[in-house]
Amino acid sequence: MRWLEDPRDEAERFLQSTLNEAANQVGDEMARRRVWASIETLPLVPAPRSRRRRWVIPALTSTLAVCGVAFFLLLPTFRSSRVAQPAAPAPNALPLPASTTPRVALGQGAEVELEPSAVLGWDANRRPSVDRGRARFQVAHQPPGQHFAVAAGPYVISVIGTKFSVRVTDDRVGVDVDEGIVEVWRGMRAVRLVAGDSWAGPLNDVPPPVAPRPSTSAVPVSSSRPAVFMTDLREAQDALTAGQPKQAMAILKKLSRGTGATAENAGYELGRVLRDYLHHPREAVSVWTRYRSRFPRGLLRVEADLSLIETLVTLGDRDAALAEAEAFLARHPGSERRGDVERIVGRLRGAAGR
Amino acid sequence: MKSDNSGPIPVLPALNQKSSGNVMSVVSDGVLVARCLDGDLTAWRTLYDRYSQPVFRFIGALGVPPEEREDAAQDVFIAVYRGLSQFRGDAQLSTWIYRIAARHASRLGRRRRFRALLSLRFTPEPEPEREPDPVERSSDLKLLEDMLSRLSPKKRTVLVLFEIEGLHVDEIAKVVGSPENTVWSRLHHARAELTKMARKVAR
Repeated sequence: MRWLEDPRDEAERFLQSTLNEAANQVGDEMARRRVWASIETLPLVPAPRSRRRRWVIPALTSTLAVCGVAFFLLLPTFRSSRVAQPAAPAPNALPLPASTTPRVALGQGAEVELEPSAVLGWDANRRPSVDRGRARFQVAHQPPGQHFAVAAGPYVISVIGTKFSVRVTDDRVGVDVDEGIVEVWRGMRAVRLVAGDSWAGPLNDVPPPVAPRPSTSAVPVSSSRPAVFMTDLREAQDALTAGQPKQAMAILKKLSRGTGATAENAGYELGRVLRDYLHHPREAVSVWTRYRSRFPRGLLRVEADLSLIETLVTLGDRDAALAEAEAFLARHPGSERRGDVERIVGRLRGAAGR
Repeated sequence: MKSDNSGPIPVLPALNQKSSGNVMSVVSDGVLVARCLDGDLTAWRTLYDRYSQPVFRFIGALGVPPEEREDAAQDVFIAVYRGLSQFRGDAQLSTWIYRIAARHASRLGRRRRFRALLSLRFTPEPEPEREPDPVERSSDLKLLEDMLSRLSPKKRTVLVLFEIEGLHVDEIAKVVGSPENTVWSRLHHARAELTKMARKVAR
């Protein structure tokens, strides 16, 4: 017989019920969403190579290095006349003579134009790396699922198709976006820039990217699009935890006016705060309806649809709830919540005498 | 469609509630992994939806405190993504993710114990105020958590995987990297210790 299948005393009954309760713990939805927002763009960074083949690159590099050294050592013995050799370039670097602005093709439909004294190299992941000076990139639109990345100090600049410049000085890295969208990553934090945005960050110290400032260059400035991070959503959660739902609402409203995952999360959370904390379910319905029209294919679309059904049922608005539930079944045929919604449809139809 | 028209209209259970096992079964884990490696954000989202709740629950049951749980889950999923190219499909994806989560929770546990030891030894500071657990927990659950914390980490992991996460012993053996007999033995001892503790409380 399985353990606790037939509890013999109070202690075993307690263990049986609490273990079942623990197994059915739902968890903190907002925490899960925050984690999602911090990892959602991971596939934009190429997955690392398999460990089993990691030896190939070091082995090839070592072989090439040995061959190169041998070549340079043996070269004088094969050449009768002595020719002055150019100075060896810095490892992995492409120093360019002053007073030229050459264009270098980088593959993946990308080209870079380097200002005099700029140095372009390659980092350990074979990404182009701006080591010094200013480099202006033009990247053709990448196929679905692919991106083009440039390293600059501790940052990785990730693009799908755009024109942008990277400048590296002794202590700062800067990015100016002319066209398209650029993401500047440092570790697991990123800032998203659109055309006209400029951003600068420290080259060596710890702080992660911060929100962009409008460009001071001749490039037209975008309409003050906020670049926000998930820490702002945490502020809203903190306000809720502190029993200040109105403050949370204010933060979420501000965030929802932005773009990207944060705005989407905030747009959805507004409804939840209105319904669960401020007890305004009708307003929550309006908020989620707005969310859906703004993000018709949003990541939280299913949650928004379900929240609407749930709230309409609670409000006693059975016709609207039934319409929503039927639309849900048609819209999300593979949803894990299909069974729940089908049950609701059955009961609503029964209540309506259909 | 089954239609039961009696009783009140049900309100939806909380999102992503543990279902009967057929969660988004239209796409297999293998296909999801391949699509993730191709940079498919939707596949990544599906994978996250499928496993985020078990990961949160599992690391919580292994004793990761609420204030560290979010960062821990984030680290687990970053490790999952980074390791996807090495996932050979020998074990189930869930087993592999549990293994990553178990290692991470164990590392955090060691770090916590070490910090506690240091603070006791050198800086006897008051215990920092704990963040409230956003998931409301019953007093029974708190009691269970307390009992689990008194088990050894190895026994606790096996018990949680079997009794809470519902894994089979062969899967648990893969998660913890021990033979099945060892898993059975740890499970037996963990159950006995837990029952003993519960009886002591009931008295």
